[in-house]
Amino acid sequence: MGQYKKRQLTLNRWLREREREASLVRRAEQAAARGAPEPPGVGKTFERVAGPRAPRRLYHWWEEPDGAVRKIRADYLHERIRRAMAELGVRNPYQLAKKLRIPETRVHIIRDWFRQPHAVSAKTGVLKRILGYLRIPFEELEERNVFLDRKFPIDLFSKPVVRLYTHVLNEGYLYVGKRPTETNIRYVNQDPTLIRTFIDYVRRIGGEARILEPKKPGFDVRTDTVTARIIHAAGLPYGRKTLTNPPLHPVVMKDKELAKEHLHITFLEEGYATFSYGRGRLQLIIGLGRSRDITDLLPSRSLKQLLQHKGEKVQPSQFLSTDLIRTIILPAAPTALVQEKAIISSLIKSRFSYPLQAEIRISYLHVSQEGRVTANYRLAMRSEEAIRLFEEIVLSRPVGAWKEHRFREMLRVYEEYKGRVLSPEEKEEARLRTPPSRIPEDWIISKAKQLLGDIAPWTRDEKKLRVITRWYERP
Amino acid sequence: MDERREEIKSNNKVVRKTMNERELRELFKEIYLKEGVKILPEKRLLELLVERGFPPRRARELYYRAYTLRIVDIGLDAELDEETGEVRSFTVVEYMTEEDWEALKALEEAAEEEEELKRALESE
Repeated sequence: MGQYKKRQLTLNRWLREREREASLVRRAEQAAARGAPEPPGVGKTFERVAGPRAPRRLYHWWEEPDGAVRKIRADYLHERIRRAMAELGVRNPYQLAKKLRIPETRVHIIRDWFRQPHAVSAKTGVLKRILGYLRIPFEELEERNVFLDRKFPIDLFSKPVVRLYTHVLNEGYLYVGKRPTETNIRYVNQDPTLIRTFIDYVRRIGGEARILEPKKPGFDVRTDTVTARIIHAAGLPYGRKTLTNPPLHPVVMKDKELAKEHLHITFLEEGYATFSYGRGRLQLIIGLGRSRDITDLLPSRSLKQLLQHKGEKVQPSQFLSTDLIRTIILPAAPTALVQEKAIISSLIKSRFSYPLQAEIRISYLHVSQEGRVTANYRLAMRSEEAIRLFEEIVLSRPVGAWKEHRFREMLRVYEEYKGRVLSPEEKEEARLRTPPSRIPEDWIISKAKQLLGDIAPWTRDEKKLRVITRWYERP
Repeated sequence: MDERREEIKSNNKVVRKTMNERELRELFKEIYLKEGVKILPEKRLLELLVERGFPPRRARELYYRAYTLRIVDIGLDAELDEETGEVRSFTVVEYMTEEDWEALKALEEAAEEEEELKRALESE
């Protein structure tokens, strides 16, 4: 083939693709003008041409995967299908297929639906197809509130969704299997109060959660599939967070109250508080940490050197040049941590008219046995303003978590001893008055019995609860 | 020109005298004290070094060396645009004292215990 002809064919193919895209965009515009759902595939095209779109606010039933089963009120669906068929001048699915010139198998399911007396179980893809043939608007089902298993649409900016998003971002894992319907959220935590809070929020958005029989040093929760897809639709990617580098929920960046709630939960799940001494004076340090997989960012030579330390934690300056650290590794800090830093600075500035003197640092690199390098980033704060802000955030509306109790006690100690050089006896007293960071076994057992008994009856069994606390017996 | 920037001629070649650690710490301490801050944007720090008479390349070398000697630490700062919700991040450099390193060490130790539990929760 001549070079000119080959180039012409490439150009033609490119033009055809652009035409297809333009037609898709036109269809999307027409749909938007009618208030109808977006045609499938248009989202990706938009994003490829114009970059990521603004986060959407509602999650509709038609955005569920085709295989997701919905339960619909039978009285509504039967009557509505009959009416739609009458409007088309047909009396049964056979006539409908004939009129639309489609195989009867495409609409045969209607007969099955008519045989279901109370609730019709239908796959999303099939329901969309039949409603399309019958010209029934998708939104009508939401307006009439006919779904029995879940209420649609779901407000992705609502407080429970934002709270759940934060929990999953911190201590959860958004799982997707081989099929898009195989989704769930895994949430593991040792503190029963946080487990209860998480489950309450899952229920508030109409979902279900169960606590698995104990096998780990923490309570292991799994949610239903729709809840996982809602959190995904709100912006959290599936898979390992160190690889996907997820951002915070978009509302957190604009709403100060939700930002404070986010920081509250994040402090309980990803935060630390500790004491240190500067010239004999007590300092209270608050820290937040997150990790990111940086394997693909490393030059092959540095990576090769690091891989000689599998299973170890190493200092970045030992293996990487200063130039590489400041130009590649540091700017790769987890998006969520960078956003959190920006939020804290903004809150401190508006509350105390003073800038936050703290920055995100690379704490260490971890080389896994599988040869992946993860950088751990940390934000350490010890200014009086940061301490006051976190006191307000963490203790104004406590959920009853161990970390809240510990932080409250640490603040009491700090208030008593701050601003002067402490004697060795006073230092010892401060140490003894600081509750341990490990949650005491008795506390876990009593809280679990009190808060989780109605969700998982096994939590009333102390023997089973000790499976969780046995971790403390390790050397 | 900063008196610590010394260049001596030997056999008609310009040989740079390396600043020792104490001198380097003095230099950075002075810069930060004069600015009245503990953290400076990287760009500003380099400008201040140049203002003190160091050529840009030498200024960068001194900054890198100060980082290696743990006189300063490099970090990332972020600012929020409250109207758009967008975040702008930039590199900053903090002047570090022994006390600062101690505080970071204490935080590392506190974090280590939590991370140990997290690893156990993920792996088992």
